[in-house]
Amino acid sequence: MQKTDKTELANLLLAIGKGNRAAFKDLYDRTAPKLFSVALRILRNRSLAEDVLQDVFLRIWQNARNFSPESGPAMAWLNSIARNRSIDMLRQKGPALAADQEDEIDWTEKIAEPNDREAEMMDLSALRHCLGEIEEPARTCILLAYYEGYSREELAERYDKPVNTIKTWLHRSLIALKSCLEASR
Amino acid sequence: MSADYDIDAAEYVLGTLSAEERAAFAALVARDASARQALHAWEARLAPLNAAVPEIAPPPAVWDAIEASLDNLPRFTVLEGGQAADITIAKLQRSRARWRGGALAAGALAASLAFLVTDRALLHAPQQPKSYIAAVNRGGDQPALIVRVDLATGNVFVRPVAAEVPSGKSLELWYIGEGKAPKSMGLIDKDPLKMPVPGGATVDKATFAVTVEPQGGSPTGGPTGPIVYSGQLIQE
Repeated sequence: MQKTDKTELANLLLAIGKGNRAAFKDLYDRTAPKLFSVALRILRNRSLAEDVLQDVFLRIWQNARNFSPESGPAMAWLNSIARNRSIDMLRQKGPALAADQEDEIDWTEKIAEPNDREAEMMDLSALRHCLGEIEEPARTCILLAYYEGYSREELAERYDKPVNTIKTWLHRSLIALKSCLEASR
Repeated sequence: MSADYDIDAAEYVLGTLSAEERAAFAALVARDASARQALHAWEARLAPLNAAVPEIAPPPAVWDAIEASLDNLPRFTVLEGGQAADITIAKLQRSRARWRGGALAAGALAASLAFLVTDRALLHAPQQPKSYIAAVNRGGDQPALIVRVDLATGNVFVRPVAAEVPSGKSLELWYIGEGKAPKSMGLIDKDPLKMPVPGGATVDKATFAVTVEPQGGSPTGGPTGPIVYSGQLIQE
């Protein structure tokens, strides 16, 4: 990702939309490691993540012509497809997948790290600041849901709270996040 | 903008909706431009978080499998998270004949689906003779299938026109009442189908959607694949 420019990815998608296979392979080489990692974090299962990655790229191939650079960065578009497929899969499989947590990551710390070009490109700093305004444990709930696919029920179990409390935490945090991001624009 | 679906959009992107809520929101996005906008806004807000995910190289077999699938893949226009933004709803009076003509250009599969509702009385519509057809379509080509709901006889008629089934997969038709979870209406084949109107179904703001599912239909009872066609019921 480091060497990939915003417009390069968008141009690849436009070429793929016209059926250009070389552009498709190029896009795969540049973005598959990130998208695989996104899927793997959420699904916590290698073989399912491989299936999802395959499906994600077939969708990219089929849908590239619907991508419009005006509506947002190419990487955000690609991430959304990978996240949506992973979460759909996770929700269908149910909590059966929610097994190993041994390699737990502190995401708050992780997003505080100085970042690569992609972060610069996608403006993590405003989001980092606004997440910082959200109180714990609501902030960790948001991060666990986004990065690791935690459902409301799993969060309720983790924090020993009713599901409705979790829902309230999430809603309040998301609304606060939105107004903070809009104010910092 | 409705605060209700803005928060649904936020939770959809965050990933905390249940499978049913996700499917219902995805169906809303497929037919409602402002819900789609709310979704894109939330995707953009949270996307920077992905910068913190470390890269992990997938095994080479994944690319091999992708490459091997490309030749057999129909170039569907999949309404992925509403990315097919230019869906237009055209109200065409007495224009079924228009759909019969015109060969479908190869590779230009129109993601369109038309619905007809008959029986004015049950729809509480005015008495004067009226006929409307709604076509949700992207390219102005033929609709993929026509769904007619006859409330007088309690039947739904499905007539495939240009629906294309990817090999090794099935197309499944879903009825989605306003604010309800999708209900399977069965698999779409080449032949016209007749089936009963789903129990408790209302036609007001009801949507039909077609998804790509594993051969034989969805294993979960809810839609699992991408929505390839969708459209809202409008009085004929």
